[in-house]
Amino acid sequence: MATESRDQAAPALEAKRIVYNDSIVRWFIGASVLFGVVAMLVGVIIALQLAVWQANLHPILTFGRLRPLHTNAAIFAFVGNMIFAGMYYSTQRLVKARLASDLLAKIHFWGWQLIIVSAAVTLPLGFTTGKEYAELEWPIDLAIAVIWVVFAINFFWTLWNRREKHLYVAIWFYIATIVTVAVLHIVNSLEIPVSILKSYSIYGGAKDALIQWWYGHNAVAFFLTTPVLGIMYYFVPKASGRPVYSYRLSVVHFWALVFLYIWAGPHHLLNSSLPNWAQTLGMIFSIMLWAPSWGGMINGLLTLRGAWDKLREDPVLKFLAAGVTFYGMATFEGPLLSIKSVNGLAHYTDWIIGHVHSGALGWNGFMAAGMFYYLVPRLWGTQLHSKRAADLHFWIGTIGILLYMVSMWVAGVTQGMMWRAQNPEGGLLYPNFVETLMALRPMYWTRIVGGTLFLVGQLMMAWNLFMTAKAGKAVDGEAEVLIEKDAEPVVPWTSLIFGRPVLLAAVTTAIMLLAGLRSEIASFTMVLLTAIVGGVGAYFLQLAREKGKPTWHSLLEGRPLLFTVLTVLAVLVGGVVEIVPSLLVEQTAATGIEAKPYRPLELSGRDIYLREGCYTCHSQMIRPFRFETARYGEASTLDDSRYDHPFQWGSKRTGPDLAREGGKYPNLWHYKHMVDPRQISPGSNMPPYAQLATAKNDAASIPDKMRAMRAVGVPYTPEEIGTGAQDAKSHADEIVADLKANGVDVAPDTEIVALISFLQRLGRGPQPPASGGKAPAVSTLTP
Amino acid sequence: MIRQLMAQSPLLLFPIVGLLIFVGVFTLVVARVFRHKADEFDAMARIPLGEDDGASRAAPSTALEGAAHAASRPALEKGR
Repeated sequence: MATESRDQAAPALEAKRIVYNDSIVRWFIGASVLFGVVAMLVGVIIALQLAVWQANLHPILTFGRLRPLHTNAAIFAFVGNMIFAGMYYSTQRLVKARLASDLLAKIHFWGWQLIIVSAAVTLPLGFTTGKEYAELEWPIDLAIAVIWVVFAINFFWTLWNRREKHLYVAIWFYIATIVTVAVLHIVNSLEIPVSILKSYSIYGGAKDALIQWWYGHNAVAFFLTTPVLGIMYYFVPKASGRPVYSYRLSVVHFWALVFLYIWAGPHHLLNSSLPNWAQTLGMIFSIMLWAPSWGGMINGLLTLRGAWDKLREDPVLKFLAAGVTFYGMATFEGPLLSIKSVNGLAHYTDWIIGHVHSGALGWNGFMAAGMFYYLVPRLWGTQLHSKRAADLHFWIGTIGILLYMVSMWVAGVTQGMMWRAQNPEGGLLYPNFVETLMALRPMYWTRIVGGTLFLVGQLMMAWNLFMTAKAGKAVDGEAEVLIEKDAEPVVPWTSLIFGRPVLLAAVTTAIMLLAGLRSEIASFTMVLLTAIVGGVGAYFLQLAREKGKPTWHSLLEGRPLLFTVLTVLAVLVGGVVEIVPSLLVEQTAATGIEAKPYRPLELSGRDIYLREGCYTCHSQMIRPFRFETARYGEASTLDDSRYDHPFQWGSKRTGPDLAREGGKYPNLWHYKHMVDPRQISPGSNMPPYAQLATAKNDAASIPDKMRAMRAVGVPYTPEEIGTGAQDAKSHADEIVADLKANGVDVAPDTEIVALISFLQRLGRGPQPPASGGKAPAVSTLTP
Repeated sequence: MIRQLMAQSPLLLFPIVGLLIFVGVFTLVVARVFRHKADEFDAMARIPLGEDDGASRAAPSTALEGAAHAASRPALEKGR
């Protein structure tokens, strides 16, 4: 027997006691609980602002500025700190090694908290890139990259020091998280600085849209999902005392998820002006995601087989089981929303907000709670202070999530249906946008109740965990491990990289590539040939396998570096096939002869639009539906946003689309609407922006902004940049003269004038100066 | 049909080839994983269960068992 021969060659073992670094886990838990409360509190505040506009108490606390703070706090502060806690705790135990460097862990912790504080300060102050979930300005982006590298070094160094050779499936998900988030963050954050806290994305229009949603979607995938799946694969078995339901399924789950997730970004851009094939690609891959997502969900839930009775007693299992169930619900809903026709109804409505929160509150929030209730008593060597309070938290939280989700579903479907409703004559039944908003008021209040309940639950958890920690004393986990003194020789990396399965995959891929290059992929012969080569190859691999020897994949699971390289490749395949076409799309899809850059004042006004977070409520993308074109005008084209760095297509319409706002209303309308929205549009929930009428516009920076825009490809000539400030002034004088003629006195150097100039430009070319105006001829600003 | 599809954009080549790569790798992973019986993976699936939960519950014997179990499997590389 093979066992006997192994026994004879058993290596000499040496016992060693290790103490885990659990203090870093305690710190991250504390930060996550604290910032979770902050994120949810801001969430409740902005929910209130949507129901009661008066809740916009101050210009720096308006919805447009607080909403990015809420999303960034929830994603990067609450979930970020939670996943770091879970990863540090479980990784040390799974690889049976103390964290490689306590110093790097401290730098990681304090660096991350500093980033969070920087975000909390800069976002309300209006320093934003205007890209959803990536709003932080370039110095903070750099800090994120540095701290992420520190984290990665410590993580991989710990893997290097491991005493457990096999990398458990949770570690694979952590590896995928670390490498993919790095790629996403770097690619999406490429920007040209204008000043210390101002930059422009190097991508514009459709390119920026594709890359931003490739990032945005995969931030959900690799920041909010894969690390939490790793946590699921560790903590659900731990809490239930049973191994994962199917380890084989976990292998398939991992590779399928990592391969597929990265492709689905374009489902955020369905029915937009993006080329049709790119939209269909995003839709198909989103639907395919159903399989691995549910494979993982089933694997997590079935781990509880035979332990269902514990659900009644153990709050940890309650939270984990409900969290995994919410994951199943959210990942069922996601592909459903990615079907183009469903998306046509749901997109831009609150349905999407409900979908996001079923994941954020149900999956992330409950998995965090389950993990914290499991960890805190162990990390402080005591019992949970109050099991009843944890149970109550579970039920309050569940009711809160359900109220939130259901109200947003109803709101989303209601608004979607009202937008498209037609009267018997074929016109819009609700031509006034505000009507469709006012119909949602009861649902907005219901959401406030749901969100508040969830916040109360979070506060109860914070109290419960604090009391638990107070009653105990911080203790670090210890374990005695055996180390092989004379291990068998290492399998060389070449035999893994050039292993037979890899070669077989390479050959079949080459055949497929050849087929692709010949544009005959669907050719029956080529498909048959690939299948034969693959099938016969697999059969011979099976024959050639030596009994008792480890398989190629089990060898691979013991080699973190190679595993990482292969994971990166899996991720990059999806990334490259999505991003390369987006970089080339300009040459192939856009006709690009009509687009003209913004005039200097418009550019300046656009920055005010970005600063105030107008994109959080207004889209700039008219979809090619009759009910959209009837309401907003001709469907948007790629040319419309060609010089938009960043793009501002938006993802939610609490207010109407603005893609063709230019010329729709006179300057006076915009002025009055900005100062008091309800004077023009009774029932609107838009915050008032009266302060813009007195705030001075930063005209001095206009040439710098134009230079930065030129650097990212906007065709401003040096002459135009040289006369930019002067052109802005004459443009402003023109608007001010028009306002004055209508009875409004406003200084030409105010922000409101710049913003009006931008809004009047949307959806049309530069306008000729009004008669008697002193603006230079428009042609001087065209390429 | 394929020519009609490609006529929409030559860039379609990227996603189609990418899709084929995915299908190839996926099939390979599934085939390789399910060629083995589930119980061959038992030791790996039990890794999280074989260690302590903290000082208050430290159970060195369990960890020893876990380590011994790992050592009894074919060594993949030098312990580090």
